[in-house]
Amino acid sequence: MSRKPTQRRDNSEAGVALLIAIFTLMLVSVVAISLIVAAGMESSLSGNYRSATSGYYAAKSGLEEARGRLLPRNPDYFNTTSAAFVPATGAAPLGLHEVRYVTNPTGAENVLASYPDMEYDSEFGGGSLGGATVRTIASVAPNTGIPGALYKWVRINPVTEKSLNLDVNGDHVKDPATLLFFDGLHLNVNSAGGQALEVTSLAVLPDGTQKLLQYIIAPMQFNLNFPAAVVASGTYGGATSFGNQTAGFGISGVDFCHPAGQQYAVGGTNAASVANLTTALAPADNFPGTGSSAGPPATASISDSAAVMQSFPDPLHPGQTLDLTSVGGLNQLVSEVQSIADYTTPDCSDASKLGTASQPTVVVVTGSCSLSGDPSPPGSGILLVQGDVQYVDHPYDGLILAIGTGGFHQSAARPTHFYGSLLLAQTINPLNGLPLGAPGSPTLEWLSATGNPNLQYDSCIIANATPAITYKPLSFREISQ
Amino acid sequence: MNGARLARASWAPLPRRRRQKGFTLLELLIAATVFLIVAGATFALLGMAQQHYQTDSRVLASFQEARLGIDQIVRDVADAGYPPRNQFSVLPAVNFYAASPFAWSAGYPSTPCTIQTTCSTPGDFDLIIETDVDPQNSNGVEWVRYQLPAGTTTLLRGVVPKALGDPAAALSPSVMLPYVTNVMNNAPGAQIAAIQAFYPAMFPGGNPVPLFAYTCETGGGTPLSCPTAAGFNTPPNILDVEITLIVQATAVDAQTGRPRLVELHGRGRRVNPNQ
Repeated sequence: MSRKPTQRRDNSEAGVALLIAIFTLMLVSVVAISLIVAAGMESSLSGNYRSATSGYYAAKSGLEEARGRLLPRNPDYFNTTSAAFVPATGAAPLGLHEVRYVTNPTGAENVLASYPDMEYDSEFGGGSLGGATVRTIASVAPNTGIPGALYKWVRINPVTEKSLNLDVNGDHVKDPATLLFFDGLHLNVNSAGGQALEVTSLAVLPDGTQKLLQYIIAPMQFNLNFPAAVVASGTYGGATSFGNQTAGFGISGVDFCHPAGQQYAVGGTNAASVANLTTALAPADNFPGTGSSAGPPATASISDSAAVMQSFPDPLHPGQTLDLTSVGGLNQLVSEVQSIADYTTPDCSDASKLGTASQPTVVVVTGSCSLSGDPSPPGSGILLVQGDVQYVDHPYDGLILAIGTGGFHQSAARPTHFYGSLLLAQTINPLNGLPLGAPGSPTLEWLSATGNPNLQYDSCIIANATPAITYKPLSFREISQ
Repeated sequence: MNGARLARASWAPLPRRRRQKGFTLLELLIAATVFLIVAGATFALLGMAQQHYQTDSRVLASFQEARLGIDQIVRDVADAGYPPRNQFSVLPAVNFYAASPFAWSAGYPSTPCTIQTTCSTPGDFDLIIETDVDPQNSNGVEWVRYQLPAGTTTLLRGVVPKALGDPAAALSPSVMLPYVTNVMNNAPGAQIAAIQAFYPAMFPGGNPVPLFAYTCETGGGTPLSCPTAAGFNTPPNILDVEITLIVQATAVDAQTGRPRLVELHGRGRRVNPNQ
């Protein structure tokens, strides 16, 4: 009876303390929350900017992966992973609505279902993607421990005037079916040059930020189209001769690939050189012509190629020219070939580096090069030799650039063939190895009178030998989402 | 025994009654004082936090406005020059292709001016981008101009269809609209001096801070800052545009009374070719 009131008073005091504590806690919480909200706004704003920038570069990484993997020289070349994924060198271009996707899922997600490509239909018309031939390939897996790119998919497809919403040829019609090509300077509807491709990349970041970027790209070939089967820069001195060959075989400018097309057999770059070549190449029956092929008139077989060689299209810089009648221009060509070379070797002893028609290579030989044998297939590509070239049998097709001591020799009495094109230029004094101020006298020997030797121009082999050095972005835009 | 019991019974409830009276006046005063101090401090803190919140909200609003502005400039620079000439085998009318990613005045389009010398635009506070901002439409290429006139604090943006003639004339003040406010890069000298008093490093020498700085292509060589690129110091060679945006919030710092500013940097790189 005496304890009950005391217990009631204790309980009442405890309740007041709790209320006061809760009230104080609420006040402090309000302050804390207001501070947190302010700080949170700041971090979310800077986070938005970071996401936008990250999305841009994530999408760009997709564009660059696709652009890089289109090159046969890339170790992750599309066709190495999936046969005929993209047109190989010399193959037919991608047809209309042939669509290729590079997918980069996170885990097991189906990116094309999760992030459907609405852009294709907006460019080509509703339902186009549904009727397209679609193939997919996986993105290159990154090395362990390195996070991969954050793009979801990249689409590669051919383009038309309608899809670009551009009147490329000025006919006031946006053609929906004719595919576009790039001739080195401009898009065209005439299939001139390499096929123009559209590369579109979608990036989606974990926070939902999306970016859609697009390139129009086209292959840039390292074009070397010389005006004759053999072009000799400098002044050919007539120091060597062509022997007394069997009529009907020799050096020919008839295009072996397209016999109707004719180049000169031999080109000089000044009048004295042309006169000396004419004397050295007599009798005229030795050139041109192979077998029963009708060659160009004998009088046309030797050309003064000075004008062409003085303004030779720069293979690396479209629209610019090289003067291949000067040491400076020739050295520039050498440095450009060196810049794209697959191999640089002191000689030609390693035949495995010389490539094949399906895998042509660019090889720089810093010394002399002795080629012989009949490998099947023969080596192929661009062979830049800074010393002399000894050539017999049928070891190589493509482009041989003997720029340095400028000597090319074939004298063994064996069946000997070379298809492609040949450039001779002496930029180094062979006696002391010092550079010359002007191209000296090249040496051209195609002497054997037995075994039907022929050195013949072949535009197809030349086209195949000249690699696509890059897929150049012709235009770029960000597509609004 | 009984007496003792009674006495105990009569004394025992007394202390209980005193305790039941509650707190003493002194206790209440002390408790109230403590409570007032705690509550006062809490409310003072809350008030301060609210002031900070309001100031920061305005700073963040300026920050966000500036950030959105800089994002758009960067995006326009990245898209500059679309579609380039190489997209056409037969060039269409001039308003359907980009002759140069960045237009200029004077001498457009035949004679490129020299940046910071003979160019009235592009300049430190003026840039005209030539691109098709809406390629899905067939309305051709647009000129997009960003301009911060001297002695002003509002960055202007204007978009007009490309046409024959001088782009700067086409983008006259009548088509330029306010885009980002309270941009202090090219503010009146008095305002710059006031800011410099608090932030001496923000405006070196008390001079305006260029909104745009350019890097130029050098014909295959290493890109250089345009003013040092000699013969390549022309608008068609602009490759990168670095943007510096200094924005002042509309409220000063609640405690110190200092102006609140944010300085944002962005860089846009054109991808399209310049020919």
